[in-house]
Amino acid sequence: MKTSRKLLTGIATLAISLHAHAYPGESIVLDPATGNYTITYRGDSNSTDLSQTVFVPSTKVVPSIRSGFHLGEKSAIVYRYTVSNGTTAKQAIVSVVLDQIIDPIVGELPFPLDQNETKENIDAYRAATKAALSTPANWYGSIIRVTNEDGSKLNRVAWRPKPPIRMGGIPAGHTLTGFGFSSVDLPGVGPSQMDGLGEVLGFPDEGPIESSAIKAELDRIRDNDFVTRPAAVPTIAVPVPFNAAVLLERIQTQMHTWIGMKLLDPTFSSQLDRYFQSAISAYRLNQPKVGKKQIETMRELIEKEHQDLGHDEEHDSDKSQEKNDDRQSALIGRLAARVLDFDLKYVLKRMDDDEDRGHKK
Amino acid sequence: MVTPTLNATRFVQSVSLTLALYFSIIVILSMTMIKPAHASGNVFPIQAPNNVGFLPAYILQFLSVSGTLAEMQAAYNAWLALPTTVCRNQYGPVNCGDISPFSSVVTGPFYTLCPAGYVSGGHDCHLIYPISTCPPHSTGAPATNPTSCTCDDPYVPDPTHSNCILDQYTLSLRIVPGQVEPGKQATVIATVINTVTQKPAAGVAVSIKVDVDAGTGGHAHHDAARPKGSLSGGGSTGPDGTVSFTFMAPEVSGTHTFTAQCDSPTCTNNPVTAKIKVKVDGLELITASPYYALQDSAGKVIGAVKNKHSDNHYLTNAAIKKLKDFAERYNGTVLPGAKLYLNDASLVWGGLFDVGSTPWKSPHTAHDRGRSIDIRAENSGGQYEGAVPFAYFDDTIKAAADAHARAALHCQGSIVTAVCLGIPYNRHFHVDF
Repeated sequence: MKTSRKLLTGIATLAISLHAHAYPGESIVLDPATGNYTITYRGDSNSTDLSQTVFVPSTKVVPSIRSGFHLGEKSAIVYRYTVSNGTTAKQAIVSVVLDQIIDPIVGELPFPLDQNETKENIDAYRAATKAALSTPANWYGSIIRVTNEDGSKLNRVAWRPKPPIRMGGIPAGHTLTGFGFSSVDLPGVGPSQMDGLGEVLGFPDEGPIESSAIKAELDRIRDNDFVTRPAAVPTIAVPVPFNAAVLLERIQTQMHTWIGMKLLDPTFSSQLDRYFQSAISAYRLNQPKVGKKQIETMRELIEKEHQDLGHDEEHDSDKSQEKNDDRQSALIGRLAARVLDFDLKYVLKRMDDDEDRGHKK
Repeated sequence: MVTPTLNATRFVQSVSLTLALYFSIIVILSMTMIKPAHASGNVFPIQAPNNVGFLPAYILQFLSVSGTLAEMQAAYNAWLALPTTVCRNQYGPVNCGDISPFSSVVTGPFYTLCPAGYVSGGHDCHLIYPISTCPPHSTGAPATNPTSCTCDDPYVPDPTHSNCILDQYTLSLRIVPGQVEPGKQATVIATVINTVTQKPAAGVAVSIKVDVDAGTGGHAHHDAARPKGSLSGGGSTGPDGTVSFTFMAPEVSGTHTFTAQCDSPTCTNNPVTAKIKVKVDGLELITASPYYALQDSAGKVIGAVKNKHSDNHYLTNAAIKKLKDFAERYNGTVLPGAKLYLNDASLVWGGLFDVGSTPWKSPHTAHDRGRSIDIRAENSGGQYEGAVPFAYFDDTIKAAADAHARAALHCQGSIVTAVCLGIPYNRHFHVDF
């Protein structure tokens, strides 16, 4: 065991050294026993002296997340999440983050900037955020929408225990429910991020030199200092005015991303693609009955892999529910199956609603 | 002796006809004269000036002029007004080259002198070619009364080919690009043009030096040790008249001045200067906001050092937005009502931020590109106002992470521990966006 640990440590050191063009003596060494990183670096470009510090990551949690979603009022989809921390976790979970939420959630207000940074606007923003997010007691939620230097956008919803953070969180062996929000977008499957509480990182100087490869590697480690689990996240925008063919295309595109997440078998995906194409063509040719048939066939294929998918929506906050999202069939994961089934059912419902409106006219 | 009488009308007519005749002759001669080839080294010969003299009586007879001395002088002056390149004898215009002595001399009230274009031969006046000489610094061919002149080396004809002058050169500088980031390269192109020919001048040795303008780039302090960057390359101009230098900008931002000159041969406009800005583009001033504090309660800008760095709150636009997000979280949730106290970000033009005791050196790593800022944290150094309390260090770091920023503690000279315990006299949060 000691030999393998030493080997792992050495490999970690070597890999970093080979990858990085670090100054002589610099290194980042992972201790497999503690899971901590020892960082040796030059803190001053005018000196060859080396400094050292320890980074305790926030990944010593064993999280699982259960996603619930159902159609609410005014065509909004209500999302709810329950988070658990495994019994072997060494840290309490102190953040639950959902990324890739493109569109504003229901009730969200834009973050006041520049001339809008008035007390009234800030107070309204905070009140709207509080109302828009469902948050467990002694936690707070926030919505972040920023644009990075390269123009890419960062959109996330995050929940954390109220300060001081060390007093709260989800300890090992515990579960917390009540996280959620509403969105007009349909669910896809995206990564949720959960992390624990490491130690405050400190440097006895100004830290690694900016141009150092050690700095770049440490930044990469810190930017990925969390544990991910798949969750149902609003990623599929519903076209306005409603267009079944366009929506099916978006659902199909989202579905293809599940192959890389190992939530969908490529062969099964190809099989579903044929029905997707037929349905899309049918709706484009104004043949809704044909389209409906294709969708129902897809739903039957999914049902074969996972039964009682509809129950998950009714009992998404039921702690006694035996079913969980981690069960996998060979062809499609349960969460992916639930999401896809929900999205397809949504298309049918919208088409039925349109048909009903047409009859009433 | 017949005393001539002046018929004014006939005189004017006669003179007019004569003038017209001579003008025609001049034009014809000009058209037929073999002009010297004005190649690069050739200039026009200089024609001799007029001599004043009197016209012998028989000339006057030729011109059918008679009258008083004043009238004859007037006639003579009119004759003098004729172009001196026209050769003539008593019978009228002749081809220059003819030497035709006068056959008699008239005495009396008329002086006997040779008019312009004539050389005295005693009792005779001899016609000569128009006298010509070569301008200074040129050699004529033939040596006497030359018809062409060639400038002596190293002289060259001026633009009008009237004089021989030394070659003149003009130097200009162009910098590509016109602005460069700290630590990056730019090219300084020196171009030398022959002022006379307006063509590129090859083989001109050009030297250049660089200096930095005091007080620029956000550095109110200045000394001889301020980095100026470095220059390499150079030499003499090539066939296109240019020679290039590579400027490696220092890590310290500022305005740099290049001074160049032609060493051999010299340029008429020596020396020539051009400037380049060494700066990080796109930095904006962090403006006041309810989310954070830029000044302490005494109105002092946090982190500013008089006569050194008084303008220390610049970030990129994207970083400012993240900063506000982070600050709002701190103000709204971590410690409701409290503000982050913002210390050093970047200087107005970015670049190395020499906050340490040694000018122009690090540390203050990462404060050069407008993507980092220091924030007060609880410390023993006396900067208590607005410092993030120790109990909320974790929350602050997580709030920064939510805004997609990285916060960590920096503590110069402290014991190596995770929270810079020990002697955290200048412990602060360093935040990267």
